[in-house]
Amino acid sequence: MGGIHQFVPMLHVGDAVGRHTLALQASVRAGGVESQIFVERDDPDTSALTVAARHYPEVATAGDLLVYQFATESALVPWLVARSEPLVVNYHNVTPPELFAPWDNALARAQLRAQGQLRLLARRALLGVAVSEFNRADLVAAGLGPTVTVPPIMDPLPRQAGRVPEPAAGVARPRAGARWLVVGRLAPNKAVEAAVDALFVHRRRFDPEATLTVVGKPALAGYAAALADHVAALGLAHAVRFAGRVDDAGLAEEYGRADVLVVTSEHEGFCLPVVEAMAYGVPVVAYRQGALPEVLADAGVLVAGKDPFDLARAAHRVCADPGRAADLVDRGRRRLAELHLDDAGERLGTLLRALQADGPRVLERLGTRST
Amino acid sequence: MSDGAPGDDPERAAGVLAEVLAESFARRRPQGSLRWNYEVAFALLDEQFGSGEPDPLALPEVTETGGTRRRAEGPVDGRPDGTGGHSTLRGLVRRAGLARLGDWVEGRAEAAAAAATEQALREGLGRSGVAQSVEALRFLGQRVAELEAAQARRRTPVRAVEQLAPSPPVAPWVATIVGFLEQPGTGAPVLHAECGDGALVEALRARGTAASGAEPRGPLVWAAAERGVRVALEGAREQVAAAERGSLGGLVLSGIVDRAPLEDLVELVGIAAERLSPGGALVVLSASPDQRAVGWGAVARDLLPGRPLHPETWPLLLEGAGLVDPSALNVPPRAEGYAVAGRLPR
Repeated sequence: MGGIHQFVPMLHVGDAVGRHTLALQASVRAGGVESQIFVERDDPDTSALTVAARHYPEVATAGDLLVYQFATESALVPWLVARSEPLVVNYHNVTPPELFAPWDNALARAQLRAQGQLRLLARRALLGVAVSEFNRADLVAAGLGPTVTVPPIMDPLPRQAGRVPEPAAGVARPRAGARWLVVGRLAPNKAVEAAVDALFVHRRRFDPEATLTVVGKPALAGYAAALADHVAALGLAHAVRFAGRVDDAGLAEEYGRADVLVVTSEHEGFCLPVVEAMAYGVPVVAYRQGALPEVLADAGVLVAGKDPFDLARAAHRVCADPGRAADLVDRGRRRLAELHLDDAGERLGTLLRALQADGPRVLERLGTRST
Repeated sequence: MSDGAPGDDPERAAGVLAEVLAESFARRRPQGSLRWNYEVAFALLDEQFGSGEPDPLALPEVTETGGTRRRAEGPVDGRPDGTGGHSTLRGLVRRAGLARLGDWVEGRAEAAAAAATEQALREGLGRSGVAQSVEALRFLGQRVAELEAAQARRRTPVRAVEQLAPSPPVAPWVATIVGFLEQPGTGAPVLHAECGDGALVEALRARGTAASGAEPRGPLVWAAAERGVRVALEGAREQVAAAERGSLGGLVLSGIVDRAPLEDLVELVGIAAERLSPGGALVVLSASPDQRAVGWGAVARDLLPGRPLHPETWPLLLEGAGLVDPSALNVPPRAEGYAVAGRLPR
């Protein structure tokens, strides 16, 4: 009996793919199956948890099932394609290169190569696993046969650690100084400038004391600098705080302080901050982009288009109406339960073990439909 | 966005501002940077001429507008060995996006590359000759990067330095400046660089003049939008430099003239004069040195790189830039500061 082994370019403890990979390994092992994580390059923080991919042939066993965690281009792809073991692609999304092109052409070309690698994998993989229906469409477009959707594994799932939402409309008085929160890397696809623009409008039109905290590390130095310049030009230097990357406790504190999570991303394959906001009891206002309608459903405010006035108006309605905010928080809790994130690891682990044990029958059952 | 949008239409004003904000941030992208484009060019050249095999997955390029196009497969420009030749390198340079840098850079880059490549081929250097060409480009690119970095260090001691200086009161000067610009006018557009809340732009548009404005302070851009005037969220220097040579019938400078260092002002006036059409007018609206020194806070005094000039100095600067008959305009009632104006010869 072989193992179910994962491959990932680098394993980071702090990012969504890294957490997902580690949680999946735990789930597979819980089913009594051997599971290692092989990497192209070491991250010093996780080197004790990983094995260099070049060593896999030394431990390869008949019956192995390989799972590739796909979010960026990697030299692992042609290497994996050339091997003979059955292969599953767990797809976390590739940011469209055109969003990076005006900022970093090298990165944009890397994204293009990643898209090419997805097509390459499609010819070879037994199964594609996407974390959202939005992402599954990419797999289908790339030519993957059977595909399924299983949400990302969040381990641990954020628990209700924030403040208790206002109980009913009209009970509490809205206060000035709304606290907006943006969570995500400072990268062009996150379009943080759109949140800054909307805050500018919000302060002028509705709430001169409103503030914005941006949690996330700069992914592109040029973009982060442009963002800081833009904030200064709008006279918001004292109203916008760039908190950088924070640990779990710090993140919980930020959600605990926030009145609203604002999401202005141009492209999201899932958007974990939305799930975190639901867990922490923070209402969400977002542009209708990517997987957000699928993940958020009716548990937040989705704003069509990209008009900062519309976004500011929507955020104001949430911040100024405690009853509305409480309703959104309640909806968020229900939506969180509907997403079944708490057993995502178990479901994916079970699926992979079944695939390893009886691949043809599982694939026949899956066909080309999603589950 | 059309000129002279009604200020009492809040929805339209909102549309104006939404566009202005988006355009302002888009201008901050490094797309147009010489350094950035050279880096792109070198990356592509390295891919083509590196020691390893070409990357089969490095298929398309990303264009400026975000689209993609596939790179030609096999040796470029028909050379069977794909190792060089003038036409090959020129093709690579063109595909690398250097065309976007404009005639100046493209001309020199191509000339340098062509000369070095041709010499290499004459001497039978083959692949190493191409490497020399690449090195020549790399050297030029490094020099450009150093100059850009030095310029950036000199010009941005702090972010949004203009926020530290009070906005110059333009409204009392509007009638006087409009009168000067129209006596006689050229019919060409007028630009007000650092136009505050757009009062002068609005007045000029109301009289049928094609006028535009730029202002680096977001709150004032908001105020302009609320009165229906679209004003670019951008600095004066960038806005003036972006205008076509000889395209402006009038150019009004305010705000920046109160806080920029002298060498920058001399450069700015020179660029401004080049943007004027024959007979075009340049108006400088400045604070009085003593008055503005009193109005500035302690932080502004420490951090702003320049001070308002005395009125006697400006005619010398305008003459130095080729303007004729520079003189002070009459100070209207309730106006602060002074205005000096001159024209290009017709």
